[in-house]
Amino acid sequence: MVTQIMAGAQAAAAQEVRPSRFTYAVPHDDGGLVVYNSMRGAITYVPQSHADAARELLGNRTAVHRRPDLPQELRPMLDGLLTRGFIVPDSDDELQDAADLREQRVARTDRLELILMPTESCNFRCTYCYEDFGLDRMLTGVQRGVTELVRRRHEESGLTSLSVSWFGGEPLVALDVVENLSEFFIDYCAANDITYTAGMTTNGYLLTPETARRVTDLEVRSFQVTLDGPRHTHDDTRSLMGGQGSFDTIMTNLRGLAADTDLDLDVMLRTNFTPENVGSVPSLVEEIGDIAARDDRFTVIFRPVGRWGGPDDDAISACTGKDAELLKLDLNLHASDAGMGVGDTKMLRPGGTVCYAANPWSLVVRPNGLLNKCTVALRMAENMVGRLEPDGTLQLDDERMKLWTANDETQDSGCRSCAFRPSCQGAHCPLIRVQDGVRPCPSVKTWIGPNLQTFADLQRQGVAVVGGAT
Amino acid sequence: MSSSASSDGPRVATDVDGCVTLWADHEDWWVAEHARGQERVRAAGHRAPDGLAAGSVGGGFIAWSGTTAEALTLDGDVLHAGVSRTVPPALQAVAAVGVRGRGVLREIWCGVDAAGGVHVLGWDGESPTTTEVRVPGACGVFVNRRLRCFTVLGETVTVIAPDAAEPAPWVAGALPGNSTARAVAFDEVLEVVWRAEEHVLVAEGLRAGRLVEIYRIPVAAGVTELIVSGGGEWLLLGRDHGDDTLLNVAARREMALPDDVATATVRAFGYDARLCALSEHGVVAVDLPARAELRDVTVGTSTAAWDGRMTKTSSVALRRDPTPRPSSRRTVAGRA
Repeated sequence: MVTQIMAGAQAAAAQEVRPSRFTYAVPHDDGGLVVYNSMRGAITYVPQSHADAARELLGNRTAVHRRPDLPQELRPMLDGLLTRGFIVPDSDDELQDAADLREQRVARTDRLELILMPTESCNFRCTYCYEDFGLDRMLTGVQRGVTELVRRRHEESGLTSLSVSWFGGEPLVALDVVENLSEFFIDYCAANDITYTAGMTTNGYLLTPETARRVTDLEVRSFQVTLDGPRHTHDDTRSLMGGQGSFDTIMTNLRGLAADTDLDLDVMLRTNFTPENVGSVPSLVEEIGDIAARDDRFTVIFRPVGRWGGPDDDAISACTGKDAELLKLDLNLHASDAGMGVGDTKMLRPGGTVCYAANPWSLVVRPNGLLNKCTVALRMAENMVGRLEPDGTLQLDDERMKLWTANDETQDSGCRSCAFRPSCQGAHCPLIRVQDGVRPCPSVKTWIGPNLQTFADLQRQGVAVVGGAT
Repeated sequence: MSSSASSDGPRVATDVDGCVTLWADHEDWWVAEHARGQERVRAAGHRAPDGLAAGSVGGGFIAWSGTTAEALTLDGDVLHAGVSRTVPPALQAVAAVGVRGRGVLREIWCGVDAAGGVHVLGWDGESPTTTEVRVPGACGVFVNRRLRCFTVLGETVTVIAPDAAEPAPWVAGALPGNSTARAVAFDEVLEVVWRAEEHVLVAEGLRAGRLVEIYRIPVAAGVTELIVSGGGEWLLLGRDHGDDTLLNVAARREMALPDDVATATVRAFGYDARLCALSEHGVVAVDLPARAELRDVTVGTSTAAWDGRMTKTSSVALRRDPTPRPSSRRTVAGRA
């Protein structure tokens, strides 16, 4: 159970209270303090003038306070911290609350999340891509299996929510598969009162305004499109199969989407950065800003290129560690300055950094019916958790499923005692646990100080940082 | 999935899933299933069609003889005959696309005849309808499933809607004549028209309603046939006098075929990046190299590159029908 917000400070007057075990208080460079609670997803900037009072109340995690015993000048701060959950009643069992949060997530049977690969063919050959493009369009029998899976799951468990993420390959290469299945999802969910949402990860090359209208009409409304810097760097890493550049076409498409204000969609523009291109990313941000600044349908995120298992891994120079994190945060601020929305704002909320692969109700359906948990290590044996039959039944390997869905805080005492536990629940990247056997801390937690400072700055610029709890 | 130009119609077709190939050999039909782990070949009767093409769904085909065409669907061991209709005479190539209308999915066919006539074969309710579009020099028709339309290659690249009442043809651009372009094909992944000239392959993309040249790749001379793999990554370059080769588009590298495939008369690109050689005796399936292995090869000649990769990671699988002949030549029910 998530900690209840106190109705008012008076309710706590007679209570013993203490800092939440999930509260962070980190100094801001300007002398203020940034306070964040991972169970509430609340973040607050405390100006320098009040920072000492906040430190006094939050500095000692084991300290128990009673309002009547506090100096008068600390009481307003106590009330504020209590209201936002940074301080909690001493009687709260926060560890149980965190365990409940995880249990509520994994126990859901009314939700189904499908990451569908309508094809693994792709018109691009990105240098860092880890896929081998072997599987073509989703087989006819697999398409039938997907529709039957949804039907079965609803009949057996009473679905209330169906979420579909189109992935690939390049999903728009198989737009017909997207259309055929989407038409079924829409009709079936409408007839059975199931909430339906859909999004797509696309390279953007085929996402013309006309195509966008076709797919938004089919309720595919969230898109992630990747641009690796301005033309000269993007075309180096994200060329068409055969080598031709793709930047100009994608930018033409984005201009078309931005100009069509009737299009009801969200476009998250992702930029993968390396030591080679990071210096030119700001010029891309400005170019994007010229198209979509202050258009809240468009946001940006930045990610360091990693060695993700592709054939060019040895040749990739990756940004890693704190350098990568600081570069990412700097780019976020630059984007905000350019009037662009920042897409990295929801990871601070409870469950905000849990990987989809950790959810028992999330499956990757590959074009040949193979079921994976993770979209990265596609040919890794542990990641092949089963097969979808044409009649919609799932042939699942329970032991392999557990590697992804039960390999989290429940198995890791370090995670259970971590202040960031409600956000990642020890399940930020099950792949790392499966592959390397180590704790997969999200970078936002590892570098929590600079992150909270950046998010606080963004919040003060008017960016909605947390975006509501799940 | 695609058919190439031929003087007397293609008599081999692979279904859209890339798992089944149907071909006609003299007076016999043969069905080869070549999905990984399910390879087998069966006889399918004794009728030789004029031509074969893929239908719009997995296991689906279109066969035509004279002025009659019928849909065929492989269901387990049975090749079911479906809808049959009258078609114009002398069809050279046919493509099919599924179109949803009035709550049902209908398969629309587009056929090219020997005189350059292009026929959109649709339905008005339960009644067949036909509309002819003139495309000078038309020799091949390909489906673009993404846009649910047909691409007809002739003296022009003409895009046709799958609507017999209103095919709305539009010309994307011109193609050089037969004396220059020895073979043409369409790839629906890159959405390009590939054409073979004397020493070069040219790729022209359909971009913003026109043709834009995007690749020009030197290859050995003599190409007379082009077949594109389902993923667009591979082209099979056929030559009248043998020496057929493969071209990897991503690496722009031409390489020799493995012997088993090079000598086969029936070949098909299959699902999961396989190249299959088919005969009444069985399926020889070669796993085409993933880009990783292909790029790792550093030896100098294309043939050596292929050989090097083949011995490194790939495999050649020869799987014959486990049932000894002649009982393996089972007649497929429904098509005897």
